[in-house]
This record gives sequence, structure tokens and C-alpha cells, in this order.
Amino acid sequence: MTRDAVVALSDLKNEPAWMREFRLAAWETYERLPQPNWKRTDISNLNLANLIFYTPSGQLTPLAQQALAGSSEMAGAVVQVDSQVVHVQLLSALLAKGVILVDMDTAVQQYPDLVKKYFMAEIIKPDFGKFEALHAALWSGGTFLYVPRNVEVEMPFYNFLTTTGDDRALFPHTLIVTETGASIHFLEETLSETFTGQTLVGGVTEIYLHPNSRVKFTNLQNWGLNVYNLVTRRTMVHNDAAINYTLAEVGAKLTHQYQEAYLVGTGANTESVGVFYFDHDQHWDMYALMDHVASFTFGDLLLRGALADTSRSIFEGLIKIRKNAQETNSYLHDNTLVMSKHARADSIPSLEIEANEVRASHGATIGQLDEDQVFYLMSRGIDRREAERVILEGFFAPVLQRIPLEQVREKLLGYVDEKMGTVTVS
Amino acid sequence: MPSVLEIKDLYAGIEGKEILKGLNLTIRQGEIHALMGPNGSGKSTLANTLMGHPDYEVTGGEVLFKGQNILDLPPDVRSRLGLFLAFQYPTTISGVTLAHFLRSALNARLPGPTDGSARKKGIPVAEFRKLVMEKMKLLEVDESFATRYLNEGFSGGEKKRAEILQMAVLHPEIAILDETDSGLDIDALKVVSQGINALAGPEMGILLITHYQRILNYIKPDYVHILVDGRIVQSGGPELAQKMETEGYDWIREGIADGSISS
Ligand SMILES: Nc1ncnc2c1ncn2[C@@H]1O[C@H](COP(=O)(O)OP(=O)(O)OP(=O)(O)O)[C@@H](O)[C@H]1O
Ligand SMILES: [Mg+2]
Repeated sequence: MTRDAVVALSDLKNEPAWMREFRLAAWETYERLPQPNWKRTDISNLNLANLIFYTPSGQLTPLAQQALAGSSEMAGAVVQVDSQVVHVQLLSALLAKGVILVDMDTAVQQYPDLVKKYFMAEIIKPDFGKFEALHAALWSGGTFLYVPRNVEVEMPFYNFLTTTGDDRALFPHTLIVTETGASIHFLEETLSETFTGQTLVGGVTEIYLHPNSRVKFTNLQNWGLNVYNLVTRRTMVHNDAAINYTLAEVGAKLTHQYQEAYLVGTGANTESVGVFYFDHDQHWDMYALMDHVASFTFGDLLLRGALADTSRSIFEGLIKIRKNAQETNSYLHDNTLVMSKHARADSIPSLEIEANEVRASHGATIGQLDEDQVFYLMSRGIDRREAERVILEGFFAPVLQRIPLEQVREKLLGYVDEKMGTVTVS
Repeated sequence: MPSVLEIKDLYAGIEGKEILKGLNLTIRQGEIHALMGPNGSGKSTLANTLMGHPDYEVTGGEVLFKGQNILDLPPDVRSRLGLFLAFQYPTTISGVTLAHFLRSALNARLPGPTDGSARKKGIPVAEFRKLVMEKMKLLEVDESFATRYLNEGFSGGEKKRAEILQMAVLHPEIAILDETDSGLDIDALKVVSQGINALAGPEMGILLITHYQRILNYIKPDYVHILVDGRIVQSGGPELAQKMETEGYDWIREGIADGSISS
């Protein structure tokens, strides 16, 4: 990864000058910025010099084909394998309404004005941090979704990402813009085998909601256990618009993610639910921010997760209520079940409140498996592993009920079953 | 041949404290035994030890069920052998519906691996529903029970009914009912007793733990045992329960003190 490599990548993609300059400026930013100073996550093991930052695979792999097979119920789909989008589809009725669904590279060529306006321009700038700058310089693939005024789509848009080997770095970029009154659901699924080498996925997602528009964003993450998964996901929410995040995560060796909602318009709303299950030495670190800039805004986040083996979770949640954000309500709750003596969870919720007419609260619990519950189930003939699974499913229930897509719920439970070593006959 | 639960010279305790001190009792399928005793005498300790609660430590003696020493078996294996415990204080499990849980418990009884792999196939939904509905009717339990989370927000009486409902669905060979009568008002007591009587019979042996004689007006025991300080100090027929009701435990304590009752 060098400046020359950035130029070469831009040349290869035959990009307009403005994007090449953008990349080069970002590269300088990358070189200038210090290593991120994450308190509880150490990525010094990640050997960047070893990684191939651009892998054009160009083919639908069996995993991707499988994923696509279920996409007939979708408004559209974008499938990315390694550094390249290999398949895009969109219902013609939506095309006719002016919906744009293309891969990000195509967007640069075909919709330069929109891309210039939104792409790492306002929501997340390259100097957000070292990895965001690296992403800005080396991004490849990803999805651009633009939804015109008052276009409401019930079926989800589907974005599937996978990787076919190790020693590579992927920098997919997702940009979603919903104009006033638009409404969509975006499902992002990441899935890969576990390879022996390291893989870095440095994804950035930007979501821009114009007034009174609605986005449901669901992420189902099951990266292989060799993946360093660095996520920066930020949403700008204008008047009366609403972003709903759903996270369901079981994969990756290491995850560090920012998930931020900027409630900049009066009446803006964000509601999130998240569920995770980790084992082995998986490490998951999430920083969630609900930033209430305007008045009458609402935020709610509920996270439930479980840890087995020597896995580790860190959840840092911040509710920020600015001076002008009167009449704001904001709530943050996370509960973690630690199922092994060697696993560890940290929860660091905090409030920064500058307005006075507000209601805000946070609560965190970290607990162990209740042995009386296990005994109760076992006394009815259920073996220990199944008892743990039943208890876990019960623990996840309040979050699962709020996952909007049945198939996501089922896949997640299937993954958890698999991880718990329970064979599921389907 | 009826299944037999034989408790032989059992010593057990909790947190280093010895509670059961050489307890002997044999229960056969088809028999109803009432076990009475004052608070703290060790009734629940016996129940939990028989079911295999990990907090209780056995320090001596053995427990044979169908000829097999069960003390080294985990609770789920004991259950699948045909042992059942209706808890004095059933645990709450949030997020798990009674129906879902009962189905898991029934599926665990299907032949094959017990790790839940039969879970998805399991017993057919329609068959399961029919079975549960039938038992709910028998126990006059509201249908909404099935979709409520296990014991969450249940009243004391509802919890006890839910325990008996589980017993009805799992039809054990030997059932231990730990104070199923306490916390029930008279109407609930009648319904639950009727339910138990309907399930009792040659197929089921019952150890009915109580410290009130009240439930014995509805369920007729074949034998009554008095537990004091971790030992059975008196055994007899139904008339013994009657005597306990009128005379209390004092005559037992006096008997132990003057040596006329051996402890
Ligand atoms: N978890 C525990 N830790 C320490 N001591 C305990 C524990 N549970 C029970 N005990 C003690 O063991 C003794 C026997 O208790 P047990 O619950 O078996 O009595 P019981 O006969 O069932 O009483 P009750 O009629 O109140 O239900 C009591 O002295 C009690 O305080
Ligand atoms: Mg008791």
C-alpha cells in the first residue's frame, strides 16, 4: 500500500480526476494520522504490509450464488466478492420510479454529482480516523442506493459481501440517500469461510436521510474467524426522519465498529437493536453514539449478547444531548450473558447532556448463566447444551422480536446453534 | 414389574451443612407416599438431591431407581428415566414460553441423540398441541399459559399448576411434589388435587411433600412419613396424617426426647 498504488488503482478504474484527487488527498491524510488509540482493542497483530488491497475476483462464488438464490423477494441486490461487485439487480418498477441501485464504482462514473455531494463529504470525512482515511484512499466496490422523493419500498434491498481467500484487504463503501418521504429497508449480509491468513475488511457506510424519510438498516455479520472487521457506520438524520439499525453478529476474529446516528433535524429518530454471540477468541468492540442535535429527537438502543470460550465484548454507548435538543428522549440498554469463566464483557454507557428538558437513561447488565435455570430445564429431561441454548434464545427474545426480517432471525439462530455445537435438522 | 425408587441411608447437605442424616424410603410405581415435616427438616433437600441439583452434595448412602444407582447421573438423565420433581419454588425463565419449553422436554424424550437435533423435527406440532390442550383442560389452566414465559409473572398458584401441567405432559413413573399445595386457595387446591388424582394410578408413584394435612383431604396417601431433622422418624398409614393435624409435631419431639421414638 503506497501512494503509487492509489494512483494505479484509480487508473485501473479509469476514474475521473476528482475521484483520483480525492483518493490522493485521503492517502496524505492516512500518512499524517497517528495509529488509532483504541483503549480496549489492539490491532498491532494485523500485518497491513502483507495484505493485497485490491482483489478483483469477478465471479459469483457458491456462497454468493446461494445468497442470491434467496433474493427473489428483494427489491434489488448487490453482490460483492472480494474487491468487486459481481452482480446487481433492481426491480424494473423501481428503476422506473428513479431508484438508483448500482455498485459504488459505477456510481462514480454515472452519477458524479450525487457522489460528489455525499461520498465522504459530510457524513464521514476521510480524516475521521486512520482507517477511514485508508478506506477513502483505497475503497473499492460497495453499493450506492438513491431513493427519490416519496418512493416507499417495502421489500428489502440486499447487499451480500464475501471473500474468497486470505491475505487481502477489502474496502467496500456503502452510500444510501433517501429523499424526503422515501422509505426503504437495506439488508447487508457478510459471510465468509475461515481462512488461515489475515483478512481486513475496512467498510464504511454512510446513510443520509432527508426529512421524513425512513431507513431500516440490518446487518447480519458472519465473517470468517480470520477477518479483522473494522466498521464505520454513520447516519445523518433530518427532520422527522427515522433510522432503524438491526445488528446480528456472530463472525470475525476482531470487530471494531463505530455506529453513529446524528439527529440533526427536529423530530429525528433512531432505534437500534443488536444481538451477538461470540466464542473462541473472538473480540468485538462497538462504539455507539446517539447524538441529539435538534429538539424533539428520540433515540433507543437495545443490545443483547452472549460470550463463550475466551471471547470478549466491549460496548461503549454514548447518548449526547446538545444544548438545543430540548424535549429529547434517549435510552440505552445492553445486557451481556457471559457463558464461560474465561470470557469477558465490558460495558461503558455514558450520558452527556447539555439541555434540561430531556429524558435519558442507560442501563447495563453483565451476568452469568443462571444455574438454577439450567437445573430446572435439565430436570425436565433437556440436556445441558440444549438447556443453555433454550435459555440463550429466551435471553435474546426481546431483541429477536424486534428484528424485522424473519430470515435474518432464522439465520442468526442457525449460526448460534452451529456455534454451540447443536446440530439442527432442517 | 413396577418401577421402584429406593433411598438407602442417604446423607446429603448443602454448603457444607449436613441436612439429611441417614434417610430410608422406598416408593413403588402406583403408591402415594406423603412426607410431612416441620420447616427446615430437609424435605426440599431430599427432593433436590433426588433430582440431582448441583448445589446439593451427597455424603453417604445410595438412591436406586429401577435398580440403577442414579446419584452419578445428571438431572436430565434422571428425568428421562422417569423421575419428576414439581418444585416448591419454580424458577422463572424469561423469553422461553411454556409451550416451547414443554416441546423441548418432550423432544428430548424421543429416541436418538438428546442434544436437540430432533428439535426441529420433533413431535408434530398438531400432536403436541392436542396433548397440551388436553392436559390444560384437565388442570383448568387458561390457554394463554402456553404462550406465556415460563413462570414469569405467574402467581404462586399458577406456578404450582404449571408444574403439575408439566408432570401431566411428561407422565413420569415417580413424581416428587414439593409443597404443591402451599400457596393455593381452596378452589385451586381442589383442581390441582383432582388433576393429580387423575394422573395417579398404577403407572405413577408419588412422593407428596407437604407440611399441611389439608391436601390429604383430597389426595389419599397409602403411606405417611414424618421427617424430622433429616431422618424419617415415623411411618404409618393415613391415620398418621390425621394425628399430625390434631397433635402437631410436639408428641414426636417428646418421643424423640424420651427415647420412645428412635431418631
Ligand atoms: N442454599 C442453602 N444454603 C444453606 N443452607 C440451606 C440452603 N438451602 C436450605 N438450607 C438449609 O437446609 C435446611 C433444610 O432446608 P429444606 O429446604 O430442605 O427444608 P424444608 O423441609 O423443605 O423446609 P420448608 O418446609 O420450609 O420448605 C434448612 O435449615 C435450610 O436453612
Ligand atoms: Mg421445602
